[in-house]
Amino acid sequence: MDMSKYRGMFLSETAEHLKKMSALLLALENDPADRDGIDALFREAHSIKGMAASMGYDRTAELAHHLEDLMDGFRQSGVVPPEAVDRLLAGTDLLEGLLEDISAERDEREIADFLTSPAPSKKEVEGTSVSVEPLPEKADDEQPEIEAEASEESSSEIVASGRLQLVIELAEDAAAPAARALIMLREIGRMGTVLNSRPGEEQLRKGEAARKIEITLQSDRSADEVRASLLVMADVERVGFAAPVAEPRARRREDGSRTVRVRTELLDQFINLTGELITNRYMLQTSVREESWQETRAGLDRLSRLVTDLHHHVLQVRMMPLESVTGRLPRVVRDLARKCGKEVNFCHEVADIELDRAILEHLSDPLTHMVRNAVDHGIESQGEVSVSAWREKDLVVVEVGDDGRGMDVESIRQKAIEKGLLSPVQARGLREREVLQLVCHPGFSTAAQVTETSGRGVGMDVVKAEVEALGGTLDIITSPGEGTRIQLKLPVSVAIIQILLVECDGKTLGIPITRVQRALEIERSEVRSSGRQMVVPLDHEMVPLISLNKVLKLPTHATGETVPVVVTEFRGRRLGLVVDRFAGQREAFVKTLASPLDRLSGVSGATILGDGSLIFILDPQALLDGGPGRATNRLVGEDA
Amino acid sequence: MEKVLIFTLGDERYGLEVAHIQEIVESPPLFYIPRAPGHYRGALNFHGTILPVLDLPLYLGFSQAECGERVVVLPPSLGTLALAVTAIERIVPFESDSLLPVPQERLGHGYIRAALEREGDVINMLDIERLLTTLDQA
Repeated sequence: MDMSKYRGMFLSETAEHLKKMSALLLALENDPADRDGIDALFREAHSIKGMAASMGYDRTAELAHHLEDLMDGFRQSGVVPPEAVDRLLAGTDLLEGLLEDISAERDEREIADFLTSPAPSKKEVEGTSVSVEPLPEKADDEQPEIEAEASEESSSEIVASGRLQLVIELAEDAAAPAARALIMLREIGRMGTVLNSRPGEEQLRKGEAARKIEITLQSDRSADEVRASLLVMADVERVGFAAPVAEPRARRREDGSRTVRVRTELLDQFINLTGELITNRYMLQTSVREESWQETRAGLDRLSRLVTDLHHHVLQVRMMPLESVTGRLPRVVRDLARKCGKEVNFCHEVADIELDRAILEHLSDPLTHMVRNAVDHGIESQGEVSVSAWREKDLVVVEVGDDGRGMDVESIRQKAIEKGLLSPVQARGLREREVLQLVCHPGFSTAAQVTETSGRGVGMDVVKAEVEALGGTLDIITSPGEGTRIQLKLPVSVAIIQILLVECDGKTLGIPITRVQRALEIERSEVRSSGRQMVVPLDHEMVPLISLNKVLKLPTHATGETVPVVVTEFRGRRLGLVVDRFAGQREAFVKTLASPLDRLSGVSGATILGDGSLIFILDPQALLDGGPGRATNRLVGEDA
Repeated sequence: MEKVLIFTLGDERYGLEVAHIQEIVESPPLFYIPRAPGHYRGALNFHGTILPVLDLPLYLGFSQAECGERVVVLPPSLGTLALAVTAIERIVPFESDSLLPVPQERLGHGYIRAALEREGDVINMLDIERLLTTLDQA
């Protein structure tokens, strides 16, 4: 039986069991004799073992079995000692790694070290000692170890993306190795497409002798098949496989195989809707045939309602509980607090909040970073870190808070001047909220020194960029001594957004409404210049103007009595983008872009209008932050 | 027996295996792509998929060559891309065994995989994989 189609289901279900195990373990750490908890944990391990065994993932099954055995012991004794919690958590981490391997269609990683390593001895007592036990580093941001040197044994490590990295060695005494290599290259070409070879065909043709040839081959044959058919050739001494290089295109294809679980009621609703649509079609066909326009109009109204309904339901399929990404945060807080010897209570209230899976997928790293920041910089020696979420109109607010020392607005202002981010005059003019946004400026860090925690992973600038790319906003609320709260305001769904259409040099472009503070027509006479910078007074403030035409390297057309300006926020300050014309506002289904267009900085997607025309959607922040070679100070000096 | 599409870039003849082609689209409307490098002529709405159209003559250094109205859409398994060429000629059968190595002096831009001789004319077989890899890394 072909099990591969069940793999997605196995992965998502096992991931859920692991999440539960992790939560149960943390609860057991506080209440080691909780009978129900111990039983539940045993059951989770048991379920994983059963599923993995039936799928033929032997190492995963073996490890789950090992954990189950451990738990069985604690079922007898009725209590889980704290060092066992560490061991079990390390076990769940390893299981997570195995799932990654299975997901990437690699062979499962080695687990023998874990199985044979002795359970940690009881010498350390938690909390009191400064030399906290080293925690096992999380493996998920590291590539599994793959032998860098090509060897016969490593062929099992090949990712099944159909791309093989071959290293072929010819026998020492091979006559005319270059010619031999050419023939071989041709032979390999029959097994697939040779994407690259070193030395290349040309060099070989020129007679460049090579005993060792490296080839990237796209083939649907397995590594072993390829090896077998090469080894029968004359003079081929050794065929090895190196780890394939990270392949962005292959990775994207892998993304496509994700699965979703859908409630059966929702499926039933889809079937009902489809039924109604079919009825509606017959009704429309009849009324058109009979030229009964009143009936047709009624039918079209009904159709429009059905489509809206369908859209609503389809979006629901994409919704996932926020908990699916916040679930691992208690563990993050626990591990980090232990590592820096702090006592941190974690409070977690996100019940019932759901978001589009595309948003959730991008939220995981930013949330982890914010929580790490809160533990690392917010809390001094003891305190509370909280993650909470609630609905606010059609947005979801996710807040990470701490009750630590808070941020000092004045010292941030001072530091921004020292770092040359702002002139003293500019800094004085900024409001408190704007000053706090400077924390998210690349290169700005409030930590006196870079610690291990804040030094790795994403910084606040990346968090902000990620949130904005999702169409959300980031706000910081803080006061000295009263802690810091960072709020992310996110759209519930990304697929459909409101966009403002603007025209530059006859080309229509979209800007998400969430990025637009105001869109207004300014009298040309109101535009003033301050140095080489054009500005316009807006609510008692001088707002700098930048021509969108110039940013896009399009010709400018300064005509007309009024200047259309899109007011947006850039690095915590207001900024006006001058366009040629406003062209309306509409709902747009945003399509994400594939390579190579996905690398255009400042272009976040595209949408197709009713007449089939394409409109690209700009992200003003990313556009102004600019791709390569576009420094901030170039903004000054650009005019309307 | 494979088939190859013969097209021109400037006044040179090129070939692309038909297996590497999804469709040839007759003068589609092209739309402006903000911030795109100059070698993209615009974007094409191909049945709801957004494809950039690469100006192949320009990209491969045929600076004087113009592009025709028809564009070659690559299959999604290969990449999200369409190619604009100077002119599309015809589709002819060929034997993959009859491919010849590219003479050194003709290597030029390096996107030629092999050469095909036909009726006294030399047709350069486009190395589409290499082209896509370069674009992907650009």
